[in-house]
Amino acid sequence: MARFSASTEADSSNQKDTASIESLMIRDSDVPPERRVVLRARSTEAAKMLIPFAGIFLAYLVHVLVPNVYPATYVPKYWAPFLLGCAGVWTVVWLLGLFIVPVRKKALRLSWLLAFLFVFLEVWDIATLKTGYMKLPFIPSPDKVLEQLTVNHLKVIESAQASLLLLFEGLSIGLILGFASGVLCGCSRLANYWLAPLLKIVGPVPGLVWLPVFVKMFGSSHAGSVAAIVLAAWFPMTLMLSNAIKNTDIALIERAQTLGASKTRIVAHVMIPAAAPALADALFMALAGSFGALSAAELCGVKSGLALAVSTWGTIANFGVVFAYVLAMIIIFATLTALMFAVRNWLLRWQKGLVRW
Amino acid sequence: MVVSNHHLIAQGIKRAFKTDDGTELVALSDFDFEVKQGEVVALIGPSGCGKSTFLRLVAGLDTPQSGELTYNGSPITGPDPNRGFVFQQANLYPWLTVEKNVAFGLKANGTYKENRHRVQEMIDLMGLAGFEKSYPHQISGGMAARVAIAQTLVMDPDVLLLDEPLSALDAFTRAVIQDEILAMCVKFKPIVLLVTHDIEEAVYLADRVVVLSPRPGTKVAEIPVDLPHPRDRISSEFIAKRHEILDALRFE
Amino acid sequence: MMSTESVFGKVNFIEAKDALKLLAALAAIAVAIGFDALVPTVYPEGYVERYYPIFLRILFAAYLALSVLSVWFPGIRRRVVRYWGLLIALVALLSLYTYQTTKTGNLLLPVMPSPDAIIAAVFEDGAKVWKNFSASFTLLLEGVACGFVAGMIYGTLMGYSRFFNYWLQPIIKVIGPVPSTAWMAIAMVLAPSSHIASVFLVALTTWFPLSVNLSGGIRGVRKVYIERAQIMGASPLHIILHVIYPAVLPNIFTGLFMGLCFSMTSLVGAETLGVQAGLGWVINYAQGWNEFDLIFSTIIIFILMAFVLLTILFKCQKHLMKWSKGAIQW
Repeated sequence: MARFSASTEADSSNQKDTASIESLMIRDSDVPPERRVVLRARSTEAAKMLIPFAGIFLAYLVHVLVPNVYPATYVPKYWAPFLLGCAGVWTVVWLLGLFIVPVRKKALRLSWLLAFLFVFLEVWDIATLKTGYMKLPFIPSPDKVLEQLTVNHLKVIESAQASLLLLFEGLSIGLILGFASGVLCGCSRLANYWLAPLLKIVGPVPGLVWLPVFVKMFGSSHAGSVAAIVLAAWFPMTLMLSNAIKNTDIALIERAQTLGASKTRIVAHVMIPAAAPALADALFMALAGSFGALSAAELCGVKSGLALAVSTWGTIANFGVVFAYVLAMIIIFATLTALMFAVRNWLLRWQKGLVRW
Repeated sequence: MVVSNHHLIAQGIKRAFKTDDGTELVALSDFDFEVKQGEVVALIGPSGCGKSTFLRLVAGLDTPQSGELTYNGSPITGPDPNRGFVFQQANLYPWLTVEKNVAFGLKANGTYKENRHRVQEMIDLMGLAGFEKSYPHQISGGMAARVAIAQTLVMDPDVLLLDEPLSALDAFTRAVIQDEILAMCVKFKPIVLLVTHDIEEAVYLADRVVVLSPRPGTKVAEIPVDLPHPRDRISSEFIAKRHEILDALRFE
Repeated sequence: MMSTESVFGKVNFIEAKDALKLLAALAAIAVAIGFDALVPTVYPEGYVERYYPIFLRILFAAYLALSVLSVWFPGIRRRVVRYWGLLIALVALLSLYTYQTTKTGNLLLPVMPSPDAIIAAVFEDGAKVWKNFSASFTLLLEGVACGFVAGMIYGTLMGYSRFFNYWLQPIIKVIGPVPSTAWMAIAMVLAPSSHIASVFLVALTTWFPLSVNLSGGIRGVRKVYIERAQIMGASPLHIILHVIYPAVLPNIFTGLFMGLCFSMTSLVGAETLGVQAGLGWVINYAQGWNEFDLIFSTIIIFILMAFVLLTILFKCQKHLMKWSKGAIQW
């Protein structure tokens, strides 16, 4: 079945209600084959994909033409080449978008956003470098941030590696433990009796509070930090998964029983799949929570990584570096979150009304 | 009840939908139709023939690409509580009790206070007494269908649009609610448009049966049903009507 | 279960199994009291336990009172009997820990303070603890309240309108996942005071999960619910308030639960780096001075705060979502 959306309203998530739009559901074979895919972009689409260039070149022109006044001797070296580089990248995207449908869809969606982004960045450039309306050292110009990123890129990568390693160590242990204890608590009343109070007592208290205890308990600041991240991932996994399993629709279980499924089979093939939406929520919370625990642990535990760098450079008021590190954090954490949502959208493709990213 | 002449006229209605890959699919084309107060008209046809699309157009949930659709002489621009719609599935608001589900429309229009008694009347009429405080997950499918109908009827609509409201019910409950709908028609004299797959239901309820062909949906036949009420489902006239409609439904 | 009319009114006799459980738990507490009284305290030298014995006696008295009440009230009985095993385990652990610390000195101070020392830290620094607790609590409530309002508005706009979704979603994707401690350095500079910066960070961590959950929920509301309301002549505002919000109540509570949990992390972070007051600051300070009794007592207060707040949240959820099954049980 192909899904059709009314041309007046395209919010696809609302179109899924088969009940009321039965008449719109039409088989693939009903569509003439020659009209199935429109390969080439229409000229309006090609034009719309050009919009970011307007933003980029506006920013470029303003940057080149308006004189630099703050600080008086500063000569920007990075911002103009960066803008030209962006223009080059977008040219490639534009050309690909003319012929490849998924690229075109993404590019069309991004066009206004990107144009706005460059205008915004240029306003920032004007407020700092061009007028000095926002003062150093607190608000550096985009050029300064790029400079720090270029100069320090090895250090940034090193910190990012340290952060990611610690994160994956804690997150993987926490998710596996959380999955195991979630299933256990969901299926066994006995396990729930003993684990639920522990969960309620230990879970909601942030890792940063436990950190001093964990560091002593597990012998090193590294192990203590890992434990804090494990806690942040374990708690939502266990709570939400066990709840969802306990709430599995009894009809689904009974149907499996009448079909002769064993207890373990029911758990693995009925209860856990039925709990998938909650699992997805738990995954989101575990990920976002572990980011928080990670940066807390870096500050007070292992004393390394991106969060520590941000804090340290912040205390000595070198905000060019701070922004560079925050930029690195945004890229890493936003990418990880987007990846997580992509995985769960794929896992939950049977479900409608999903929390989307 | 004030006797006035409500009427609904459709002329040359066309509605097409865009598919995911940009092609166009015509659900309803060149559709002409007329109905006046007190008439019960059944729209019948195979899946995808645009009958539900037409009902949504009349309800104002959707707009035609071309053609004119007027109610009492003025074009339909949006939903109106005067044109009640009973959906295929009950889909009651799960967070409201039966009573509050029935009262929803009155509250939405700010006319709950003066019409409070109608809610209870409708609940009694639909045989839902005793379940006022139940939540939708606590009642059966048949009762949910009745609540959905009560929810629409409590608004006292001049046009009643029924989109296979009884398809999810068992045969017995369906027969009971069909009689309730007929009683309602006698009492309130609304315009009733009934979309159904069930030929027997169409012959049992309708004064006129409109047969549609699929893709593009157009009218292929209009068959008057002039049997007196209550209709006997196994009389020879009844069965002859069923055959007539069945013949009209064989397109190729 | 038998019940009979007697001079005491209606008495539901406790089943023998339940009575045994109650007695076993009471006996366990009694044994712990006896053990604590009979085994001499040797570490540190000259230490006299003051709070732990009282704590055990209060525990005993409370459980005894509840057990007696449970003869008349089956509702109480169910709960009191339910906790018997946990109570025995708790008392056993406490006794073992006391034995390892004050009774023998196997576990050394300052890292492993005895239960008595932990309770003492709460009571002896009462004023200080209360001051820091209320500082944390106010900051948390201020931040969560701001974050709640912001999240509701942001999530509604993002879920309801395609236009706002287009412009607002990238912002949440970029800012949301980055932990608040990272924003701390910037917020401290931009905000007029460190208190406002802290409130902002706590609000940020409530706003993020609430908006994501709410907007996702709104876009998932069944179209039929909305169309039916339109048919009945409901205005857009009426639809938002009476159809969309009830329908997404589960999402709102999930978002609030996440937000509350994340907020506590950013609260502690803000207190450590920013305002220099509150429970988070106490922990950091105590860690610096190796005052582990203070750390443990602060953790206990934090546990209580988190537990009470989440319990209130889930009670609200249970009350407001009677119509739904499958909400998170606390």
